[in-house]
Amino acid sequence: MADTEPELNLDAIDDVIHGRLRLGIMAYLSAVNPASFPELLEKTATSNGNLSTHLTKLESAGYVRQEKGYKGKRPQTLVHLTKAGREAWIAYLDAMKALLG
Amino acid sequence: MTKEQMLADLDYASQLAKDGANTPLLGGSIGLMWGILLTLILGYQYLILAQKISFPPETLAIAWIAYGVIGGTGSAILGRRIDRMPGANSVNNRVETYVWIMFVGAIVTTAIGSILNMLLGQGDQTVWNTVLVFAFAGQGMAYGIVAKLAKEKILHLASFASFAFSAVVFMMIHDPVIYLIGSIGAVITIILPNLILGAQSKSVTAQHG
Repeated sequence: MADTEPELNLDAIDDVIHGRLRLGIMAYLSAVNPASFPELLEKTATSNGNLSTHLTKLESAGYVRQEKGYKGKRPQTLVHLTKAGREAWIAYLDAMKALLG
Repeated sequence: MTKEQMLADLDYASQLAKDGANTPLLGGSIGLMWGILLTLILGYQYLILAQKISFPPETLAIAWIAYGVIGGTGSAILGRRIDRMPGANSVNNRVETYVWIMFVGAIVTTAIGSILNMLLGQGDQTVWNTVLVFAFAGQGMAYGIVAKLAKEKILHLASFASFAFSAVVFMMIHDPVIYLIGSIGAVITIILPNLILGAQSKSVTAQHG
C-alpha cells in the first residue's frame, strides 16, 4: 500500500477558479459583492501585483468585472462577481462536493 | 493535487466567505445620530405642546426642518465613510441600507400626506400625530427584517419594543404626552440598540485585527 495520498482527478474542476487565491477571491465575492481592491487585498493577504494578475484571469473568463472609478477624489477599483461568475462558482462547489464525496 | 491540499484550499476559501458573510452591521453610527436627533426633537415638541416652555409653536417647523437637514447631511457624511469599510457590500449591510431607505420613504410620504391634510383644512394635530405611530411601526418592521437576516437578538428586541411604542402612541393619539413617550421610545429603541451594536462591531473588528 502506498504511503502517499492518491492524486485526485480534477477534470471536472474549473481551472480558472481552482487556484488558492482565485478560490479565495470568488469565495469572498460570493458574500460581499462588489468588494473594493484594497478590501480584497486585506482579506486575501496577498500582494498588489499578485491580486491584479489573478483578477485579470478571472475577468478574462467573465467571472468578475473590474470597475475603475472615483470615490470622491480618490481612485477606486470595485470588483464585481458577474452572473456567469456566480454560476461558475456554484458549479465549482457542486463539482468539489461530488469529487470529495 | 492531493485531497489534503484541496481541503486546505477549501478551508481557506470557506474562511474568506464566512468573513464576508459575518461582517457586522455597519449602519450603527447613522442610527445613533438619528436616535439622538429624534430624542431631542420629540422632547422639544412635547415641551412646547404641553406648554412646559413658552417658545412659540411656530419654532417647531424650524426645528423639524433643522432635524431633516442635520440628519440628511450627517447620513451622507457617515454613509460615505461606511462605504469605504470592508464588508460594506455584504448582503446584510446592503439589505440594512435598503430597508432603512425605504423606511424613510414611507415616513416622508406619511408626513407629506399629513401636512397636506392639515393645509387643506381637513385635519388637525391628531393627523400629524399619526406619523409617530407609523414611524414606530415601520421601524419595528425594518428592525425585524434586519434582525432576521443578521441574526441580531438585540434588533429583535428593538423591533418588538418599537411595535409596543407604536401601540401605546396610537392609544394616546390625542394627548401631547405621546411626544414625551416618543422621545423615551427613541432612546430605548434607537439609541440603546445602536450603542450595543456599535460596541459589538468594535469588538469584532478588534478580534479580526
